[in-house]
Amino acid sequence: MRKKGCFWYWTFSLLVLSGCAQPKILEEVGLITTYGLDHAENGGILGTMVELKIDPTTPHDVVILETEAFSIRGIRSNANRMTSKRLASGQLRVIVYGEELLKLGSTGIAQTVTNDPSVSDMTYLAIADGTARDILNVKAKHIPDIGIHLFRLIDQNTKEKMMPSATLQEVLHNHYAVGREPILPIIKKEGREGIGFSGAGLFKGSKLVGKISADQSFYLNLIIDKYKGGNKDFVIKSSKLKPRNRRLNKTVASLDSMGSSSHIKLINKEKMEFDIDIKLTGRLLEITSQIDLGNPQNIKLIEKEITKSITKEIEKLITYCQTKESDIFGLGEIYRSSVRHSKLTDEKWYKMFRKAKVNVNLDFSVRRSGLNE
Amino acid sequence: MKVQYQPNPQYILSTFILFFIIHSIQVGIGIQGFQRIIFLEAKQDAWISVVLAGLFAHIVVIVMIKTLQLYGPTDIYGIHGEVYGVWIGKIVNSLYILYCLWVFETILINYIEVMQTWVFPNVPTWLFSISILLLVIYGVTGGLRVIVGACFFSVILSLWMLGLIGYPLRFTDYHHLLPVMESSITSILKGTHKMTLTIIGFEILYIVYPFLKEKGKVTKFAHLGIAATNLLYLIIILITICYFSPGQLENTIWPTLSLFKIVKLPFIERTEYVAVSFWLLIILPNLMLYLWAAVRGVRRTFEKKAKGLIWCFSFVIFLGSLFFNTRPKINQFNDLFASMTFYIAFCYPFILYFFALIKKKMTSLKEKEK
Repeated sequence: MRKKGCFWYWTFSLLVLSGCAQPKILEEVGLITTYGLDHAENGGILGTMVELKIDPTTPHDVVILETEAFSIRGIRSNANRMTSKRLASGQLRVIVYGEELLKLGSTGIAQTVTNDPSVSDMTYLAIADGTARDILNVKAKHIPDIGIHLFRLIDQNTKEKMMPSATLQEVLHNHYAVGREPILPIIKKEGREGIGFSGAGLFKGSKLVGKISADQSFYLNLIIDKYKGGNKDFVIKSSKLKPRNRRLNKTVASLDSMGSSSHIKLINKEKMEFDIDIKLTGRLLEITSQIDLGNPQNIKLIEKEITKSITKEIEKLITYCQTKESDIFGLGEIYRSSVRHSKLTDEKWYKMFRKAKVNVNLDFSVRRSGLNE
Repeated sequence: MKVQYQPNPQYILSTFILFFIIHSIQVGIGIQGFQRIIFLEAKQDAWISVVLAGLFAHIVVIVMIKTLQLYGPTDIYGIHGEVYGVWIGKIVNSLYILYCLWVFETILINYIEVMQTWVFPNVPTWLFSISILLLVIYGVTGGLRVIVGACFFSVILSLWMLGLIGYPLRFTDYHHLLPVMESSITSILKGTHKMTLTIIGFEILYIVYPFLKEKGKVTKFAHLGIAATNLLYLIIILITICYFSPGQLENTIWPTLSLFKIVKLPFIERTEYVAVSFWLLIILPNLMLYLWAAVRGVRRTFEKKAKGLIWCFSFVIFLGSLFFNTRPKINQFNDLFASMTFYIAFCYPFILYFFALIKKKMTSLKEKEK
C-alpha cells in the first residue's frame, strides 16, 4: 500500500510541476480594447491600438500604440516592443477600419481576426470617417478611455437600433452569404472633442463602395431589422398642415416608442420583382403644426403623410443601393431561397440586383398621442 | 471459450441505464464539427443527411439486437467464436479489439487538438494525454459500474449546455434552409456517409448486452438512446445552418464550439472556454467504454487478467497520441478511420447476422439428423 501511495505521489507532483499553461496574470498583461487599422503607404497596415494597463502606480492607464506591419498579428508583436506589459487581445471590443483601407477591398482582415480563438465574435466593427488613427487619438476631458468610450457608444446605439448592428459574426455572415452585403457604421470626429455615429458604409464584395447617412440607416433598419422603442422625426411636406413656425416651411412630426416588422417576398421570378411589407406603429408626441390631434380625421391625414414620406425615403435608399450594386437588404438571399437551382453567385447577383424592381408597402398607424389631445 | 456469458449478479445493470450508455457514447468528439463536413456535401439539405443517418442507426441496432437474441446472454466476442470457429474467431476478435482502441485513439487526439487550438496552445500533447489517460484508467479499473456512473453523470451534467443554444438563435435566418431538397440524392447520401464518425458508438451494445438485467426492455432503451442523440444532432445542425452563412460554415472547423463564441453571461464573457474544457466530461465515458470494451475482448478471447492490460493499452495509445500532433496528420487519421468505421459499425452487423442465421440453421439441422 505504501509503495502505491508513493507512486501516485510522484506521478501527481510530476504533473503539477511540469504541467502549467502559460498564465495570464491581469497585472502583467496589457489588454488591447480597440484596434484601429489604416492603409499604410508601403502597402502594409498601420495599426493603432488602445491598450488598457492595470497599474495602480500610474495615473493614466490607457496607452495608444502605433505600429506598421503587414499582418494583424505583426502589428501586435511589433507593438509588444513598445510596452512594458505583454499584449493580449482577449478583451478586444471594437475594430475600427480606416476608410482608405476598405476602399482598397481588405475585409479579408476580419477573417484573420476570427482565426484567433481569443477574439470574441461579438466584437464590433466600424469604419472611421477619415483614418482610424485620428479617431483613436481624440483627446478630451470627458473621454478618459477612448477604447471603452467607443465601445459604449457603439453598443448603446446598436441596442437602440440607431446604428446597423455590425458585430464580427454578423459582418462575416453577410460577407460570406451569396446575395447579401455587410454594412458597417461610420464613426466621425464631431467638432474638436467628440466622436459620433454619422452613417453607414455599403460594400460590394469586400470593397467599400458607398455611404448612407445616419438618417437613411434608420430606414435601412426598418427593412432588415425589427424595431422596439426608439424615436425619430419625420418631415411632412403638405399644404394641409400649417406650420407653427412661419420661417420653417415644413412640418416635423416626432414619433416615439416605435415598433416595426418587415417581410420581404419575391413575387415575380422572371422579372425579379420584390415586395417589401413593413408594419410600423408609434406614439405621436410632438408635431410642429397647429392641428387638433383629437380629431381622428387629422390623425388619418398625418398617418397618410408620414407613410408617403417614409415610402419615398425607402425607395430613394433602395435606388441608391442599386446604383452601387450593394444588396444590403438581403434580397439575393430571398431570391436564392425561393428559386430552385438558381446557382446564384455574387457576380451574377450584382447585375441582377441592379435590375430588380422593389415595391415598398408601408402600413403605418399612430397608436396614441401622449398625454394631451 | 463459451458462447454465453452470465456475469455475477453484483455486476448486473438496470436496463434503463442503457439509454445513458448509448447516448453518452454517441455524443462525443464528432458533435463539435460534424456540421461542416456534411454541409460540404449536402449544402442546405445537410439536415436531411443527419436524419437519414439517424434512421440508419436505428435499423442497424434492430439487426444487432436480433443477432444477440439468437444466442441469449452473450456478447460479440462469444458470437464470433461460435460463428467463425475457434481460430478465425480469435483473429476477428483481435481485429475488433483493435477497432475499439482505434476509436479511442481518434477521440483522444481530436480532443487534445481542440484543447490546444482553443485554450492552451502551449501545453504539450503528452501532458493532456497522460492526464486524460490516468482518469480513464481510474474509471476502467473500477469496472463497468463505475463507467456507467460516469455515463449517467456526463449526460445529466452537460444538459445545461443545451440552454446556451438559445443565444445563437437570435442571429438565425431560416432562409438558409430553403429551398429544401435542392441537392441531389447522391450528395445527400454522401453527407449521410460522412456522419459515420459522429454517430457511431451504438456498437457498444454488442458488448454491454450480457450485463443488462431485463433483456426484453433492451430494444426500447437502445432505441430511445439513439433517438435522443438524433434529436440533439438535428437541433444542432438546424441551428448551425441558420446561424452561419454557407461560406462561413465551409471555413469553420468546429461550428458547435463557434456557436458558443457569442454566448455572453454576466459573470463569464467567453463561454466557449468553459465549453471546451467541460467537453472532457462528455469525452470521458466514450474513452472509458471503448477501453473497457477492448479489455473485455481480450479477457473473453484469451482469458487473460485485465489489470496489466489496461496499462499496456494505455501506453500504446499514449505513444500514438504523441505522433498525431498536427492538423494534416489528424485529418488523415480521421479520414482513414471514417472510411473503416463505416464498414465496421454500419455494414458488419448485417453480415454477422447473416452468418449467425446460417450457423443456427445448420446446427438445428444437424440436431434433427441426430
